[in-house]
Amino acid sequence: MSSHTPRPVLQSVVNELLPDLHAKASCEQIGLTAQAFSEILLEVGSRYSTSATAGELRTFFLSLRVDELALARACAGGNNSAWEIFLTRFREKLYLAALRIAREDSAARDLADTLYADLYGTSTREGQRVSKLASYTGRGSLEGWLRTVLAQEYVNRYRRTRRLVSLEEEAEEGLQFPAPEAQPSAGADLRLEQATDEVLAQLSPEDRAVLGAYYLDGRTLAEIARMLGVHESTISRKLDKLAKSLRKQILANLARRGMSRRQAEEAIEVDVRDLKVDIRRSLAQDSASESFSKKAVEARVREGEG
Amino acid sequence: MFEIPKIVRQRLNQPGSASSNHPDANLLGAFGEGCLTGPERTTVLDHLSFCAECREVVALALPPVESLQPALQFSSGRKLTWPILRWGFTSAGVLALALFGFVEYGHHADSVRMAKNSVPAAAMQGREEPVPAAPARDEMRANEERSQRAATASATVEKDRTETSAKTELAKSFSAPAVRGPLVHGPRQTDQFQQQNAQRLQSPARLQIVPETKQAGAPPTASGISGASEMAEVHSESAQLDVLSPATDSLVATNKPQPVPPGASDGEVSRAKSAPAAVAAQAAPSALETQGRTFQALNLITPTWMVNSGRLQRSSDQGQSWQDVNVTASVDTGVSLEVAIASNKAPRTRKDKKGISTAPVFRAVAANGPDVWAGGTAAALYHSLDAGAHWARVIPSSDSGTLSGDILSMEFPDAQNGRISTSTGEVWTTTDSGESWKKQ
Repeated sequence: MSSHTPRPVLQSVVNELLPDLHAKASCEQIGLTAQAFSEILLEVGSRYSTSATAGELRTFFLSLRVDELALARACAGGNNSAWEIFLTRFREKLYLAALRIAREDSAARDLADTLYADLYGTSTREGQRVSKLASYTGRGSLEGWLRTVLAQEYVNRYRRTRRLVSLEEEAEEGLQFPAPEAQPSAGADLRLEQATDEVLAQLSPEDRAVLGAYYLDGRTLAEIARMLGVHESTISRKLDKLAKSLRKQILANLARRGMSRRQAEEAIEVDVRDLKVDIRRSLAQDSASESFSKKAVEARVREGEG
Repeated sequence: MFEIPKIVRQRLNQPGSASSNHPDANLLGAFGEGCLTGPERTTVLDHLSFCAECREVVALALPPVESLQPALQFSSGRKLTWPILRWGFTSAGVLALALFGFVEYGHHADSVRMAKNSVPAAAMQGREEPVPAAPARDEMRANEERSQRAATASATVEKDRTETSAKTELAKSFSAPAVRGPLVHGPRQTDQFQQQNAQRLQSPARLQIVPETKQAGAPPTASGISGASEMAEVHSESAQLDVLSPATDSLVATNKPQPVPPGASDGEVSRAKSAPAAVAAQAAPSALETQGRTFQALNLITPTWMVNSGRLQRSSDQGQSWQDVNVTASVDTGVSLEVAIASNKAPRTRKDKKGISTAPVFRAVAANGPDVWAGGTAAALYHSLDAGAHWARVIPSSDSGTLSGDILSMEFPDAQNGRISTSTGEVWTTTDSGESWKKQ
């Protein structure tokens, strides 16, 4: 990043705002000179955008958490007083966040300790300590960044085990519903898939994200609402609307593909009936729960054997 | 709950559509805190819509619930305004209906209750009475009822007794320690006084004397409490006189508006009656009348601002009517601001009491929604964050001194950045909503 010279617009905006931002970030206390801070700002600015206008850049810099940015970079640079400030402010929070993510004490400590090592910079590159804090850019709060880094670490670390579990689940599903794809109506399936893909592609990113979070990740309405920074009822309304309109749109799309109304409805219905639309609902059904429990017993037996 | 075809679930889960370039922790963290806007937010959302892993990271990294509130507020200024507005509209509607019903009911009741002779005065009272003065109104109504009762009873003696009891009550309510003056009477004195009075009342010829003497005392001391008690007497007395003898009608009709402007008397009566009411009554009646409406409007509409011959004025109806805004009222006392209609109705007494003359002479005003800056002579600079309901005096200063001279013009293109020029040729700028200033 710092190898090529920054754009003149960026340079001039940084020069203009530097005194203010430098004072606002109280860099003096943590031994960050104006020159060093200006380099940090230039780096952050060039990461932000390569085509932003002066006005956009100004807004961008003014929205940064410059004090936390300065603190993080001073820590990364090995300033001891900065580290002390960082530890007093974030040690407890970091552990609590890890506990919330891992939901279990030893795993949480493990997670937090790993992050500490990364933050302090145990690995070296070209003889220099590389601290993860050097990648913080002040976009959100430092605390939020730390939580996100923890969550990433957690997801990376436990992805493997989760993968195994999910494969098992898939295998179980395969057992329960033997090969619906193998049924002869491949042409209809293909059209249905294409129609669905088209309809999904027309959704806004937010709608798609909500669908994914709710139906795939099993997030609650409250969680999704907090992720998107809106009210829970907004998500509820959105899902209600989406559930209704998706079906209608897929039917319309299938009709455009030459399916009769009845055929199209059948294609969706067949799928619905066979593949269990709603897991909660299917669990509540007697027949389903019976086969499910049978399958679960089988799975446990297999586990015991393995 | 929300049922979707399985095929949708299946196709949503298609891998490969997610790009392998996950947004870094900075972007995901800022997204979770609602700090991202515009295209950046859309980019991250787009990735999230395909990438279950990043969705999980964002969900796991959400701030704990108790600290969520500020983050939410930060994120969605626009999104939060609509629910608030919606509730605002609803409550304003309910309030308006209630007010209408109340006024209509009061009007109706008054017109029925009052004898036809004194209708003008009663109607004026009914209309002018603001909501906070309801106790005063009840009192008046009680008096009127009593006087009516007195009318139906034919015996003069009995009339006098009812009257006396009414008067005693009135006098009791006015017997607060603060009451002083020529016609001040504690409960015991009053009895005496009223017995005398009652004797006088027996003859219609004497009746005319009574209101006249009262009238002489009343008008000049409109602000005094003793004056107020007198006026109240005039009220009750004249109401009773109306009933007693048709001969006095003309006298009452001419007397009433003169010494006792109905609005003023209402205000004074309620003030004399109880200490809390005194606060409400201090503001002029017209101000009281408009306050309720204006504040509702304020919550819903962003007002427009202008400076008119040194006075700061605000309009909540796109400039159709303008109201003076007294900046110093809320600065000095910390109570909600006072609005007086800039018209002939603006009473002189209020001006004297509140000392409008001490308000600065304004030269410039700048507003961004509820964020309002007003500046004027002698470095007067005031800032309001709530569309003028509360004001804070700001004195720009930097290492090289403080702002001096008269503020001639100011520009605030947004809430953060501002620029002020003064008569002494100074130019002051701020980039953080006035927290710090730079002199150029």
